[in-house]
Amino acid sequence: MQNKHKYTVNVNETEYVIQFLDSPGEVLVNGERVRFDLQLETPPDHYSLLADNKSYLLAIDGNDSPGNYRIHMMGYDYEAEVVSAREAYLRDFVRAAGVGKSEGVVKAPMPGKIVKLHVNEGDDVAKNKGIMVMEAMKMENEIRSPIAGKVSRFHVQSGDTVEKGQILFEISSK
Amino acid sequence: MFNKVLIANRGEIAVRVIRACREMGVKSVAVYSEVDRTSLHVLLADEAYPIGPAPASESYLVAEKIIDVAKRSGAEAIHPGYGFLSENAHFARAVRGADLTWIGPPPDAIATMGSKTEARSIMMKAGVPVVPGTPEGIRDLDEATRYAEEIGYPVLIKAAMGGGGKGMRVVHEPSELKESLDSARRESESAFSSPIVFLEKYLEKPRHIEFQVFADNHGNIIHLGERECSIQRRHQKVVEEAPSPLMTPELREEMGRSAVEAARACGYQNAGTVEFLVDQNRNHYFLEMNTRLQVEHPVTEMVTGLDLVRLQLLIASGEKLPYSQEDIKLNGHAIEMRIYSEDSMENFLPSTGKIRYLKPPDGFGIREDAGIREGDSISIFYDPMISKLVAWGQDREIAIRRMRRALMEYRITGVRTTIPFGIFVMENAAFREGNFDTSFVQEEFDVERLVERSKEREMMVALAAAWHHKQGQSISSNNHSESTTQPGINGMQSGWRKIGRKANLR
Repeated sequence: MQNKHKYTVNVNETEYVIQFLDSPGEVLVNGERVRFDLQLETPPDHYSLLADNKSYLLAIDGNDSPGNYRIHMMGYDYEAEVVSAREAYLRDFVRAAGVGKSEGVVKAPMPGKIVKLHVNEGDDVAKNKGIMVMEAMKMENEIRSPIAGKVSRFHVQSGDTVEKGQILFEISSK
Repeated sequence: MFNKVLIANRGEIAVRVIRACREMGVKSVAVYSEVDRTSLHVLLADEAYPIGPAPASESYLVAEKIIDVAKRSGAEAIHPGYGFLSENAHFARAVRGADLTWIGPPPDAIATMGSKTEARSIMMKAGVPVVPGTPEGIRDLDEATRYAEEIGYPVLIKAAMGGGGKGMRVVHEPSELKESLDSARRESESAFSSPIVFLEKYLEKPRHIEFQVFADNHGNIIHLGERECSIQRRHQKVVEEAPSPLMTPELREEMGRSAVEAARACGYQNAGTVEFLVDQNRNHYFLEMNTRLQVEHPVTEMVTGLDLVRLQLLIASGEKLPYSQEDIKLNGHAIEMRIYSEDSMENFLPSTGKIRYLKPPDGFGIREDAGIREGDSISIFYDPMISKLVAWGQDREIAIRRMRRALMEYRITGVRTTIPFGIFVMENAAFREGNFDTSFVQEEFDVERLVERSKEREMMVALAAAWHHKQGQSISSNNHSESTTQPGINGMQSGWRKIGRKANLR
């Protein structure tokens, strides 16, 4: 089998292997043969899918980063990450080189105002620990730690007005 | 009847009022801020006037500008919709002072009901049951501590001037009191320019049931039955229905009488809503009265067949209520789902952006009240509600199935919405049995279960995603970055969250 039409797709945390076959309209989904017809229903990204004659309507609603798609299908939201066999190979290579350590920045999910900081720089925090209170749309929202780790740096202080996407703090896992 | 009415609002409610005006042969006058020039209410009104910059405090909340437009346009009356100036007694007085008709209750009734503490004391005098609590605002932590001990934990801190869940905190034990009090005060100050809060006994698992009342200027008061509004997130309603699955004819009569008494006690006129909490023994307690048309008024319209905005205009123009209590018959069942631009999968995080594509469902028994169109932006300036989807059926079961079907057909891209949550509710056993209360979202709603429910079509999503990816990003999906739902509340790359979700699935 040629790998060039093979993709690993992670949908809401479950992995599927999709392999398009040379015969048009045929695909292997997790090794199972499915006859499919995918039509662009409303350009650029609303599709009608007939899979073994079952009808599905879906929209690909933008992507956060290359290969990451947000998808609506019949009332549900999905996040799908598509990696082609070639990309997977490259990714493994990069990982082996030790890139991608567990640390990160937490950004403002929406524009607002920082009302209060609950912890200090250098504090160890548990996952989901409230780090700060942000007021947006006249509601107070708790910004929580996504992981257990150390708050390595604050980029804002109490009283600051922040834009969406502005870095709030950095956290590193132990 | 009026010749011309100004609508001091925007969005779906402005559209709703404009439609009623046109059906009654009344000319409508819209007002709009700089970002609303092409909004739906401007397009549908007979006349439209600019009133300033996008922030509501410089446009929709500036009483003088609105009254000035009313005078210039020759409007005879002002309909405030809900939100903005609708429950502002000063504005209502100013409108009357300018020789215009206020389509709403007397300013004094607004002022009385606007103070939750004052409303409570009037209701107690009128013999309407209220939740045990402090008679007025609390001064400091000491006083709060004393009252909380007296009432007994858990207690609820509420903003005296509040509404919409803002400035509200549940306190389960003494140690949480200070932090909650401070934070409720800050939120109340910022939202209502008043730090006054009071304490109430927090009823465990109450149901939130409200009665629609109408009073004319001739002393006639009727109620149009109840609405069940127990499904809330952050103390804000998301799903409402009429009638309540809890209701019996006897309880409806009893609560309806309380509602009419409440309206009478404050000299009410026009449309109002009396909110009650109902405990597990079916005792009802007056919660507050909303002195305006409610967001969820369509469910009452669907089961009574009456146009509530039309009734408001009739009453405001001095006519008698055309119906007596015996004329009000309830037919079938209606459910409203508020479609908010909030991510169901991420704890209802607000999602701002441009509506890239919008095709609401239709078909028998489906009504959609929307104030936005495809191409409009959900901005941070105004309420993030996209529309209200209403399903009517001859009974509750049919209405639920119809709503689920409509939510599945609803097509919207550009922002994340409460649609997946809506489907969850319609499929939830407790909801279907009518056995739920205001703790529904905390107790029943679970994103993991939502993910489970969506699983059966996941394989097809994978197939389509791979195909789209294969076609190359040339078909462009890179350009939709205006849509700004973050991958997680904490804005981490989704990898962080994936780890958590996987762990939970085990």
